[in-house]
Formats: sequence, structure tokens, C-alpha cells
Amino acid sequence: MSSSSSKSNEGSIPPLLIEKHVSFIQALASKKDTFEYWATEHLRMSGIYWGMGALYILSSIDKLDKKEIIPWILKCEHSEGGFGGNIGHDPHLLYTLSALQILAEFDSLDLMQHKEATIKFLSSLQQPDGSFVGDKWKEVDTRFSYCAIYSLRLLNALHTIDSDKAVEHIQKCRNFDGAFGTIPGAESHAGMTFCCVAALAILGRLYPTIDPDLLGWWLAERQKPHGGLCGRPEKSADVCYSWWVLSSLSIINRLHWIDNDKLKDWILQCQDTETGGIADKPGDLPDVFHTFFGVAGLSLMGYFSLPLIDPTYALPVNTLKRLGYELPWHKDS
Amino acid sequence: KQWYQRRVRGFATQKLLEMNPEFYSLWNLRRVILEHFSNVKDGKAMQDMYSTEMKFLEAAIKLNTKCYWIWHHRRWITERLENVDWKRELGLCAKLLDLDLRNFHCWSYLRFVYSRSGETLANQFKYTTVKIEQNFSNYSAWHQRSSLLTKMYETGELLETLKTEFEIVRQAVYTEPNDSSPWTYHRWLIGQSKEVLTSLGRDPLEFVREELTHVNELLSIEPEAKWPLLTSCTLMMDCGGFDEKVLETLDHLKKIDSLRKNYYEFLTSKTVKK
Repeated sequence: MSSSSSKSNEGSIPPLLIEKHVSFIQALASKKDTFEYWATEHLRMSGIYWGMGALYILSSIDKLDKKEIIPWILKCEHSEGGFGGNIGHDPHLLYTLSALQILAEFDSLDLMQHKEATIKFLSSLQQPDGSFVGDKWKEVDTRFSYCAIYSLRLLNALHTIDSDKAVEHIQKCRNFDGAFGTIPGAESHAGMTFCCVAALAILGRLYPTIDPDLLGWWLAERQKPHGGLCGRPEKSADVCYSWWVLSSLSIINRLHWIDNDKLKDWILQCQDTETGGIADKPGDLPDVFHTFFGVAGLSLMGYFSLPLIDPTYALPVNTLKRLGYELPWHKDS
Repeated sequence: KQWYQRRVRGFATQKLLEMNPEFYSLWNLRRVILEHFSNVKDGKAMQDMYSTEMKFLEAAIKLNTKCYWIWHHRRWITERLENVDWKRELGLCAKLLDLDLRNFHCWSYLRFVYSRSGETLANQFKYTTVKIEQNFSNYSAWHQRSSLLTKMYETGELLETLKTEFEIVRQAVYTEPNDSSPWTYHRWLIGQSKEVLTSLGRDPLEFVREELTHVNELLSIEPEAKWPLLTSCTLMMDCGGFDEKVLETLDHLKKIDSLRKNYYEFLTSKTVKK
């Protein structure tokens, strides 16, 4: 075990501290005078999505003030399309997705002021080779393939992109180990692998692009001896991979290829028993990002009767059903 | 007046970005300002601005080695800088990869530099050898090696190279039998060898059989090591005719690598079904 577990007793695993995590997330909104609050200002949109997701799983989404959040989101909407990470920030695909996810959850997509412009913005991000850029400054990354495809799905506008080309580009990012990197030639990484697998799932093009046995094996190899998951060979575990790896395994129906009990115990050990919240590793400081992915991982594995979150869309299954989505990768229980 | 305002804003963005390089809208603003200047300044003055920007970025990268926005901005500038000092770029990458051999931002940027600078594939390959010799656990270097090999050789010519690669992997796994990196590369080499031998009209399992012998030798010294066990298993499955031994090995793996026992169970039922 790593030395950072010297604080907690080895072998003593705390229960899931639901109330403490809810308080932790609520407190984040009020800490407006901290360095962290301002240092993360540019990604507030994603921060709210992570907080919302976590609160939903902890059965406390009512703690979010929809009346405050929705107007704020709409202030981040740009007339030329897309959403910024916060008010005054430039439109970017990452924050456009987060904004749409929150609006979808709150049944408020119709409140968008510039829906057509956003659809144009999103489809304009596809490059001739099928890849997607994050904004007009043209950084290419498979994260953006996922964000664009997902965003357009939410806006019922997938027809505005070339799906075949999108799939072609994703295929070019697949490596010999069955997993995916950021761009063609890049090393396999669990985060990008999730993005590629989920993007293919949304497009209904998982097979034959994915070799589920090879990919499942690569993903299963991410589990470290103590139960946590890492993102690449020989790297250390991090709670956020409890999502990227787990959801990928779930989509290809191979969640059982890792030891779920051990992962569950490891996630629980990443909780901060004093302040609430979940950290990237046991003993580190918690944050909303790792709190969301930690509880999302627990929900995916079916522990503690947590409300179900979908592995492809990272949104509540109930929400997606309400939106009329088909979730063909969902295991029949 | 607008020009002056942009200059002041430019200076201010630098200070802010030094404190928080994740503030992406400021990098965007910087590019807007540079684009404006490129319309009003003469060529040399603009090139000087880009060179200064590169220095600023170098300092920023050293403090924030994994910030997507910084790496992207550096690429954006090199696309506009006429006389990029590619040697310096290669040196910057080498330095950063010495500090963190797995920084994928840097590896991507290195591949970008290679494509723009015309660095030979042979030299690129040499670099991966250096990194692997420094540390056999450098999966990023093994990965790079695999993509270079397929670029450097036509399928038929690859045969001799594969033999050498198998020997290099053998050195690595004898030194550290429990590191996944060389073993994963080994899995790729096996796949390649089957393709190459098939294209030459030879027995595709030639290398598989030879490697099985070598892995079994290693297993006699390290009978409880997961990776040699798993590799011997997949090689035996490739060869066929070893079903009993395969099932025995999978049972062994289920015990010593119990985290993944359901994966081994999957391989077991695949073998039993045959």
C-alpha cells in the first residue's frame, strides 16, 4: 500500500458517507473567497455538472437551486453558438457539453436562446478527416469527438455531421492494444478510450470497430493490486479512472473482468472522513470531480442501491429514458 | 488607441496566464491580439513576436507540463514561426521526457516536431531505444517504437527486425519479469510476426513456437510471475494442441492474479468450448 494511507487504518474501510459528501458539495458553492474557487473559474460549467451528477447519485439533487443555475447557464451561452466555462468565457466544446447535460437533466434544453447557432457551432468543429476540434483554435483530440457527438445527440442534430468519417477517425486512434489515444499515433489512455468507446456507442457503431475481448483485457489490466484503477500501464491509480475504465467495461458488458469488491473498497478509502468528498487517492484532498466519478463508479457496479447512471452518457438512466433514449448496452439484470 | 489597448491587454494576459494557465479564454485573447498584429506589423517584427511567445511558452510548459492549452498554443505559434529551431524543440522534449517519461502531451508534441522537422525515422527509432534502455518500464517508448516499425518497413522486410525486437524484449523481461510494458509490446510483436510470415508464405506460427520456448525457460526461473504465465497461455492458445496445459495455466493465473479471475474464466470457457 502507498504511504499516503498512514492516516487511515489499513483494513478499516469507511462506509459510504452520503451526507458528508452532500454537505461537501453544497459547501463548494459558498466558498467564493478561496483560491481554488477562482483558479477553477474557467471550468465552473463542468464543476456544476460534476456536482449535479454526484448529488443525483446521492439522492440529493434537490439541493441544487435550478432557479439559480439555469439563468446562469444561459448567460454562458454565446450568440454565435456554444457555451463558455463561465460568464464571459469563450465558447468551447467541453463546456458546451457540460451545459447541455445540465439543461437536459433539468428538462430545460428548450430554454436555449441560440440553439441553431450552437448546432452550427458543433457541426463546424468536424474536420475533413472526421476528427473534431474543441473550438475555432483547432486543437484536435478524441475527447472532442465524444463531446461533439454527444452534444449533437442531445440537440437531435447528429445528421449535421459525417458519422462515417467520425468513426473512421476514431478507428485511426485505435492502437495495437485495442484501446485509444488522443490523436492517431498517440498512446492508449483510459480517458480517451472512454471517449472513443462512448462516441461509437452513441453512433451505434461499436462493432466491429471495437474488439471487446482485447479492449476488455486492456481495461481489466488497469486494476492495481490494492483495487484502484489507473489510466495507462504502470501508472498509479486515481479515482477518476473508476469512471473512465469502468464505464468502458460496462458498455462492452465486461464489468466483471475486474474485481468489483476491491475497487469499491478502494473508492471508499478515498473518501475524506472529516470534510466529506472523495479524493483522487486515499489521504489526498477531495474535490467535486473525484467525488462525482467515485460515486458514479459505485453506482455502475451496483453497490449501495445507488440510483443508476448510464455509462455512455454519464447521466441518470431515468433522465435518458424520459428523453426517449435507447440504451442497448444496458445489461438486463 | 485600439493598438495600445491590445498591447496592454497582451501584457496583462501574460501575468494572468503565468498564475493560471488553465484560463483558456486568455490564450484565445492572446491569439486574437497576435492575429491583429500580424495584419499591421511587418514580417520581421511579427516573427520576433512569435519568437518571444515561444520563450514565454517554454517557461510556462516547464511549470505546467500537462496543460493542454499551453501545448496547443505552442503548436499554433510554430505553425506561424518561419525559422523554428527544431533542434531546440527536440531538446525541450527530450528534457521533459527525461523528467517524466510518460508525459503524453510531450510525446504528441514530439511526434508533431518530427513531422515538421523531417527527422528521419531511423533517428526517431534510435530515440525510443535510448528511452527503453534507460527504463524498460517506459510503455510510451514501446508504443512509439511499435508505430515507427510499421512506418519504417514494408511487411516483408520486417522479419529480421522482429527477430531483433524479440531479443530486446527478452532482455527487458529477464531484468523485470513483472513489468507489463515489454510484455504488451511482445503481444504486438507476435501479432506482427504472424502477419509477416503469412505474407511471405511461411508458417505463421514459427515465432510463436520459438517464443513459447523462451517464455517457458523464464517460467522455470519465475514460476509465479503473472506476465510470463499469461503470455505462455496466449502463445499456447495460438499454437493449438495444448488445451490441458492452457487450462492448468489459467487455473494458476486465477489464483495469483485473482483480480482478473473472471477474465481468465472467460479464456477457460473459450478453450473448453473448442
